[in-house]
Amino acid sequence: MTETVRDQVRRPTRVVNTSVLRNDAREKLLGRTRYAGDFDVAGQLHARLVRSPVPSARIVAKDASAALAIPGVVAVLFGEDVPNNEIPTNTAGIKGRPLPPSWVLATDRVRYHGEPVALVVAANPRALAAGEAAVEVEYDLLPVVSDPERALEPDGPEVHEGGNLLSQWEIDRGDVDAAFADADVVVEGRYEAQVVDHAYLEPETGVGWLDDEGVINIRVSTQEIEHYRRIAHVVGLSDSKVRVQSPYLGGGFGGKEDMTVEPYIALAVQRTGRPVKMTWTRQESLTARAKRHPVRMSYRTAATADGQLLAHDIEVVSDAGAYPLLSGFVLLYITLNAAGPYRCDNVRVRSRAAYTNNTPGSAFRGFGGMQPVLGYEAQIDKVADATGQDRVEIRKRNAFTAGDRIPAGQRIETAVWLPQCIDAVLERIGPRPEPSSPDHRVGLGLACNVQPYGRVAWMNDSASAWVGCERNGDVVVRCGVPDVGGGQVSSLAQIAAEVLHVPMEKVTVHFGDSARTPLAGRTTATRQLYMSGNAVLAAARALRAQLVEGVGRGSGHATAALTLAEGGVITPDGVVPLAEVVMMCLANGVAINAMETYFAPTAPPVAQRVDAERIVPDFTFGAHAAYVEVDTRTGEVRPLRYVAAHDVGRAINPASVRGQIEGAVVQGIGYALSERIVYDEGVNLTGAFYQYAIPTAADCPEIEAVVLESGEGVGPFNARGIGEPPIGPCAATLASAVEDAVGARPTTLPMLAERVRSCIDEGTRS
Amino acid sequence: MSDVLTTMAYERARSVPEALVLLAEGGEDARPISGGQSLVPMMNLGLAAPAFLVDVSAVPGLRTITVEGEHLVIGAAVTHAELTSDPLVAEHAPLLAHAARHIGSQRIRNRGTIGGSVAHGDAAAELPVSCHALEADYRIESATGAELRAAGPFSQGYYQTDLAPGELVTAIRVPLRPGHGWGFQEYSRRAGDFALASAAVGVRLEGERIGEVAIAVTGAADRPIRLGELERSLTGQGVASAVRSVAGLAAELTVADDPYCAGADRGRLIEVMVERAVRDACADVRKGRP
Repeated sequence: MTETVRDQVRRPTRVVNTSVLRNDAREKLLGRTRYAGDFDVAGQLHARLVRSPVPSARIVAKDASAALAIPGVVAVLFGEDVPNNEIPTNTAGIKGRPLPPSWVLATDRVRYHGEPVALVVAANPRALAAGEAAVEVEYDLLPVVSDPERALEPDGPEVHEGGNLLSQWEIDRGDVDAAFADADVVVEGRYEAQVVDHAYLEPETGVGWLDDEGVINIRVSTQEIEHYRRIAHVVGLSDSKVRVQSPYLGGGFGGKEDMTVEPYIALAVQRTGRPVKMTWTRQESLTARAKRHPVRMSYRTAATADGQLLAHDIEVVSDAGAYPLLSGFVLLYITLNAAGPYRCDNVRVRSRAAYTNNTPGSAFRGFGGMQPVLGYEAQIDKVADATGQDRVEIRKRNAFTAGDRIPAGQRIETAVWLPQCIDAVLERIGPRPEPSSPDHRVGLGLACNVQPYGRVAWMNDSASAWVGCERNGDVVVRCGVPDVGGGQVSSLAQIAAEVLHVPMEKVTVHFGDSARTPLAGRTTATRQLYMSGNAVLAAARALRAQLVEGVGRGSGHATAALTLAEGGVITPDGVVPLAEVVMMCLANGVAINAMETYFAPTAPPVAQRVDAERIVPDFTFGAHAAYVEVDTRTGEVRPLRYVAAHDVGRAINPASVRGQIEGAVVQGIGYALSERIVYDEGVNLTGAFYQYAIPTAADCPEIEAVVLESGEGVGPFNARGIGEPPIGPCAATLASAVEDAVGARPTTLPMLAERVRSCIDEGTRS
Repeated sequence: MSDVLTTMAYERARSVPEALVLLAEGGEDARPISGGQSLVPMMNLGLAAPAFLVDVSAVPGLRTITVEGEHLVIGAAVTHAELTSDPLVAEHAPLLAHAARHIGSQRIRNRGTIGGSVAHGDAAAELPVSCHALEADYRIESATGAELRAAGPFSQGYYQTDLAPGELVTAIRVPLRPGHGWGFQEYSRRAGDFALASAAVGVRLEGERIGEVAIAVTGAADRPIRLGELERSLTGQGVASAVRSVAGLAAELTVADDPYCAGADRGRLIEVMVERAVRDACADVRKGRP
């Protein structure tokens, strides 16, 4: 793969902005990294959930006696046995209406297929399986609602009392009706995206034990160690009596943002006093863990005759599934991003999320920034076609620039390198390949996106980091980040190494421990480099000043005459090696460590009508281009070559950035072409990977990641977040390429062969 | 879940007679295993829980490929990878080599065997449908004797074959058909998946006309089927006209819906696969001409 780094604003750095070997790479490559499931504790029990086999029912009877009679079965817990069975939920709902409770274990009603009903604890896997099968639960079936629009009808079967509307948001910017009345062209479209699964390799897994201080310890695969508070609530303990550690994750993608195994492990440890391990099967994960929201989106877009966007009128219905989880926030992100990275002064968005008896929807890489790309990129192509404008030029012309306001009101404060991203992908995509047979057509697609990074402003987000020196000159970072595989920890080491002028291998990072590393928040929302990177940067800079101060006090030189550089502190008398610097600090009352907390900009919560100066910290922009080949007879779409460019402000580790982009493109190709969860009236039929079509290496094209660096971003060294943004444009890019190839554009995901073929047939007929 | 409950006995047979004795002793609870590429996934999914596995992958006589009289005889433990590279298969049964290239991934082709594939009876698998088009038969042995069973009726439905406990597929016999051309086409959602539709076609030309044609497909039913009516209608036609005559096949097929693909869509895919496989088979004949 070609490396293309266009660095416009480069202050010289030594470690940052270079593709250093990540500090997790060697162990992972050698297969020696120990993931959460690789840890066992002597004497551990095993736990497993009894899950509802039906999507909607009243529980009329529960009986654990047969299970408890099985040798080796230690305990069976129902919801009634949980100290606080209601899980605290803080998603954005509807003003004035409390969110319905979510349960650790359903007590008298189940609302989706796979909902946990009982927890079985046993001495060995055999007894566990027998115990699970022997727990008797009697269900009285209730009506199922699996279509969100049906759920929102007045007579739709109620999933929760009080109606099925979970959340709604509105944007009303400018005068939309007047803009449509004055418009030269109006284009319309309906777009639909499906349910997909995170499909990480590492399943939900963890082991818990009680320590000598009475603290429940849980070592678990999670994106958020700060769930310890929720876990403590569930088991009725004080917050400080639960500790969560996250070793390196084998993938998260949002699927481990909500709790998975944690409360069950804690309950089992509390009940038995013994260590307990729980690992979900792939079938459990596919069937019952939260998914990406399927959406239906209607767009009407108005423009002038020369292709200037005048107005959008957008309606979105999102299927939240059976419980709130993060659906309100995901819907907010859909709403914020509905009009894309383009200036538009008149925007109306009406978005609603509905409860159904499907698997709950929640966080997934892209987090609502993803779904609308399918809509707004198709709309701008339609405007281009209707006005005779070039699809490239119309994007450049309408693209935001720094200082513009997004339709939700926030002003964009950093550079918008959308035109540069477009130029980069079109330059790199290369000549159009020849079709492989007379039945095949080749097309070129282009799509752009915008994705916020960092959490919404009223989360009052912060991240803390501790940086210190050992007496031999080693540098230690303590920071409570979970590392989901994106290089979160390694980037922190790079930042500390850069500021303190030591080589990477001299930096050790202790991470992901709610008891022993300063809390740094969840690894979600593309926030971790931004937040914890800024915290480590501040702490390392503070420590650097202290080290210089210590040498100043010890040597009598003014600190202005001293510089920390490679090898130690440079003084007029020569270089003081770092190990001696440390001793000079200690001898002169200067601390050899520093802790700093980085605070994201905050603002009050937005109202249901979203119009605010501050909603998110900042944005990342990108453009993708791809060639696809379409088999016009079968409708099969095969990506041939793919180029993705994002402005990351400044890349801390360009190789890691390219890895994020490549991985996101593969995941986005799966979303575009093949991945989906299939339901039959709320029953999830997709319980194994042979049914869930993740692209294989053989299905993926050559992918080139282009890393652009505007030098503007609110992360450390002006970095922007890149974890989520590159998944956004993939489906729209491939839809646009299919349209270029065959003259008809798929609007429903995934673009299965038969759908594309129908689309071609309709295009031919019309 | 049976995955954690399964414990089983395992024996590695050194010869066919030893394997047959072990299978006879094991009765209903015994299953032969070779590459394990079908049985082990079934066990992982909890759909099979054999108490006794008889490993036949090391039996030397099951790994050979020979020409015996009018047949190419392929040992049941020959792997898919070997089918794709063996010169005798390339010469006498190239359809099997074409088909085997579509099976799974290279790792699966390195382990999976032809005998395992036909005995497993997946309705979408590449080798049973190819054997049906080739009019191959299978040598079935048990502790009480040996017999030949034709490939077509051997497939009896989803994962159902004419194979009783204690019986072992030991060889696949493919009639030699000099002068025939062969084509294999399939559509799957992604590389290595079982096909939604596939077609295995053999053609003998008389001059520029089709003298004889065999068309077997998957995706249309619960087992691979021959399209006898289409075979008869194509016979005697010129090549170009025969390829065109496949159009309309979808309307003749009644394919059941499943949650992942509507029956009508599968029918259309089958039609395209058959058309392309007929075209390829005719081109294959012409390529073989001096």
